Amino acid sequence: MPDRRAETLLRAMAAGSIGRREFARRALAIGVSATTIAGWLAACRPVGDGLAPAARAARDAAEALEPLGPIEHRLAIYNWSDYVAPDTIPNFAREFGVRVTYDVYESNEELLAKLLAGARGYDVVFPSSYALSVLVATGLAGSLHRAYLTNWGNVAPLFLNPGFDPGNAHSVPWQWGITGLAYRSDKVETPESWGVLQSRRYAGKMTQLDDGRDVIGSWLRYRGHSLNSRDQIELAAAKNDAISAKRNLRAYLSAPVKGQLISGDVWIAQLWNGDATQARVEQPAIQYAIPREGSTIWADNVVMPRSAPHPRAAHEFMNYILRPEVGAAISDFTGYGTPNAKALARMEHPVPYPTPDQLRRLEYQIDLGRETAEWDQLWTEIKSA
Amino acid sequence: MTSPAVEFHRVSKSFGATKAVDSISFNIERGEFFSILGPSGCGKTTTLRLLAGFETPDPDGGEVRILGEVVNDKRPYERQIAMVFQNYALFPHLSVERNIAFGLEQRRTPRSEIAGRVARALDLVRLSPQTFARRSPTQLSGGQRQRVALARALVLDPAILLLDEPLGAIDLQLRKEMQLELKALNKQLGTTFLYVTHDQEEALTMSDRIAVMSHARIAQLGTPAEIYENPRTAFVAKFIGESNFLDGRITDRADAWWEVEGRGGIRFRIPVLNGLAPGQDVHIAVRPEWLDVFRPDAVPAGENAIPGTVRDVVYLGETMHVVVSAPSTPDITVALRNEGQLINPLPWRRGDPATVAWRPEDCQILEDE
Amino acid sequence: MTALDMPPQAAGPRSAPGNGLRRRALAWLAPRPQAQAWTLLAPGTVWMLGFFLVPVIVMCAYSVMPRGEYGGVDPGFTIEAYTRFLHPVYLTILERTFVLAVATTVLSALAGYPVAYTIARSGRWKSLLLFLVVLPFWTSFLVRTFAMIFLMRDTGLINSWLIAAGLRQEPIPMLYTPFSVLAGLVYGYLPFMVLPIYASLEKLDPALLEAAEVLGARPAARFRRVTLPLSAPGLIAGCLLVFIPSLGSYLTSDLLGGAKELLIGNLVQNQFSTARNWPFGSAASFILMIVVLAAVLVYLRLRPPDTVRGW
Repeated sequence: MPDRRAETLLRAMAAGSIGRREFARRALAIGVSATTIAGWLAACRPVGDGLAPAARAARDAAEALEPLGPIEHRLAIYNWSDYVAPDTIPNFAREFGVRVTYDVYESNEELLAKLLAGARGYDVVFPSSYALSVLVATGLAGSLHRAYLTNWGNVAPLFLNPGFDPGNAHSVPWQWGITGLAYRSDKVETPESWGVLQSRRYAGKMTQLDDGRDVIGSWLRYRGHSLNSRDQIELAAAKNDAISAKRNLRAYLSAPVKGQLISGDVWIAQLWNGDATQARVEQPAIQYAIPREGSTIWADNVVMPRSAPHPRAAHEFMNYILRPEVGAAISDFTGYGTPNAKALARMEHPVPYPTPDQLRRLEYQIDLGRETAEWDQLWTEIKSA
Repeated sequence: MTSPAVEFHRVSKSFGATKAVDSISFNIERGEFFSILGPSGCGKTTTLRLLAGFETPDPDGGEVRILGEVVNDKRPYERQIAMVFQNYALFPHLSVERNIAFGLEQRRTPRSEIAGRVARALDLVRLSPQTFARRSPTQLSGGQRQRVALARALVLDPAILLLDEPLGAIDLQLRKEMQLELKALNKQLGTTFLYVTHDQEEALTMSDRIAVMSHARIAQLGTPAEIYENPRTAFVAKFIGESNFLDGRITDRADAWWEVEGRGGIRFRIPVLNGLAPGQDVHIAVRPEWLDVFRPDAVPAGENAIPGTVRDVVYLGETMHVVVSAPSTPDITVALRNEGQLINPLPWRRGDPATVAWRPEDCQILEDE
Repeated sequence: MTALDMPPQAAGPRSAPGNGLRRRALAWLAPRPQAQAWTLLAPGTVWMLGFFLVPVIVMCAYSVMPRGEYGGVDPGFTIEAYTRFLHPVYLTILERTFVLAVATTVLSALAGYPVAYTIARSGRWKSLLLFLVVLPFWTSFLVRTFAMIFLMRDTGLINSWLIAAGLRQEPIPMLYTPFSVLAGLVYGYLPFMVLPIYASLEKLDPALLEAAEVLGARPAARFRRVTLPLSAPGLIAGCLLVFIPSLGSYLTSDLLGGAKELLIGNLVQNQFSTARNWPFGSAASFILMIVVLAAVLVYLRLRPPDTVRGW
């Protein structure tokens, strides 16, 4: 509802008791004073810590060597939904005498929005690779005190020292996965290419993820380009492909598409491999394929925000999940890959690491910086088409 | 022979187990100003609504006729009636002239005719068309709204006009004016009026005939004079004007009178009427203005007398009421003309011994109800 | 005499400390009706200021500042966000949202008026029926929307029943169509239409309808010339109560529309999450607010000035 000043102003205007000039003058006064106050407010709280990268790295390295106090009795976790085994948290809580609060989010953007807006209460968060870059660049990612991570050696070399976090200064690898096509093998042939989404054959029975980066990225790969492209021409082509596929799509759905795959409302869905594995438990006909043009490989990481109120408990948790049996239990439940070599050996349904051939077709998403706005415009245009 | 404007023949109306109207019958002649008078709950409004068509009579043979035609099953808009409601029911979203024109528009009266008829209707109720036609009902006083409601009804030239206690919310002065105006309109237009009220003065002032109702039945039907001077039952006597009531038993006959002995040894005489015999209980009403007050030793011969003490003297403007208390009877009120208390005051003071007296023929013998 | 006037205190037993302060405060207020009014208005005013006015001002300010790299704003002044909105893509979104809101309002009015009318005439069932209309509010909006998904899916209740009854061979594709979005919106906002119309109809004096009948109006004419005009204020209020929120809706189109179309609500949400373009999101919100203000202005003009019987 509009605020009273505006309504009073409008009534006066409607009743003719003030002229247009007076109205404009008063409205401007309301607006300008508002702008000055808010601008002053906003300038008081900048995003980011204002340090140059080198200075920040030096500071973080120094921090990493400081000792932490005794273990606190609380831990606040902020994680993706369906992303930890049912007994992981209770077991940890019992063993270490820590009370755990567990919140969930649906996308990296949600996580980033919260942390960038200044949320301070989380001890452990799980950003994907490009989201981690943003946290590092804005100085929100806390340093890992490696001394407390005694199980560090269990991590497979493949996942050490990633490009988005050199030297693992800030993150412990959590799960990795691939974005591809989940499909009902009893309804359709194995999809080989992203192009299947553009053919009318299964129109109305296909979905893509409700995520601009995943959708535009898939069509960039379709044409043989990088899914981190900033090239205008490549992006325009991807947009047209996405729009021509949209005609055949039932909807843009993320995690909730599992239910529709199981019920048979959807036959082909762009989905993450772990979620497909989870759905297969209820509907064995669900299979998974990586299109030949390639797709996204992503890694989620455990990060302790710099503002974490319980740093020691956070580190104990990070060390806990590096135990082989714990890592195996988690991956068995989520269906995603584990970066923990020792855990892989213990899994009931191990997801093998990608072969070099597959690795060639897979790409990590990196943060787009300023180009984020251009990608968003494209996504808006796709959605409005 | 032309049929009466309205005929009710043994009409009843029940709501559930209760009879709101119990087998009533009466006629209203054409052009008559007919009132139904009674306290709340007596059935007068239901009778009006039966005539209007908002209620249907019980299917037990009762008939409602308008101008000779049975209308039991006809909807209000199929009857030749118009109505003025208690709270006027003016349409608040329409101007005065559109309110009045409403009925004409429903009858598809040509546009050219409507304006003229509306203006004439406003003139009829003494509202100036220039001033009032465009106003909204919310901008009018109570009296003005009343007149607009009247105009809205009269513009249709109805055979019968129904009025449901229309003057209730108006102040006294204006009410008396309106009463006279309504009566004048009735005579001027020749329209039959059916007027429902609980105010007996109003009914007496305006009506050609009155039906007094009580408990779903008609207690008495007659001209104002008949109702007032010859009330048939205690209810009517009490409801119209004021009455003093006396009971007694007939002891014996003396010439043209019955001798009656009342409680506490009071004796009085009443006129001889058929159907009465010694030993019978009688119940009489004596109106205050038929009594006079005397000093105990100065009572004229031949009159009924009850000795007592002055309890109160009440100043009513036109009349003075002297209330006398006597043993074994309720207080008796005597009405005397006020000849000016400042120049010629009454000699009665509280506590004075006084005797009330009346001529034996100045009483009304009441029927059992 | 106002409620704050207290009777004079006799020399009674001494009460707890602080009572003197209260008495002095009340005594100070007693002869100042303006101050009394402000005291009573204070809680609501503070709430409105803190949780509405200040955020709107902040949003206004953000809309004219350059965007920060990782979200948020940098100091400065630019109207880039507003000029960006003039791109046909965004204007189409605004138009589409507007059309959807209008369609929702019209359908709600057509569906809601008969319901309100029936309830107003239902005598002793009134309270029960009103309760049933309000009952859905006791469940979360999200849950109700999901319930509609279960109803409308290809394998949902409606289609299963139709196929089982032999009325159809193939399921009717109801979900993820403009129909499902409209159905979800109308379903969600219908009570906001029913209740004001009901309130308006309830105040209708039955004598007015009787008067109309005696004056010759048949049932249809009575409705057209008496009931409808006198319930117009309620109808207009209901339209406003449905139109304004449905302009800002985004959940329903996401869940029931398959996220295939962007409404202004989705656009704003995107700007504050994925796109990290707060100034643009603020500008879009502000433009939406202007549209709403325009609607309110239209309402103020449309409302019949004298017939303010409760509305």
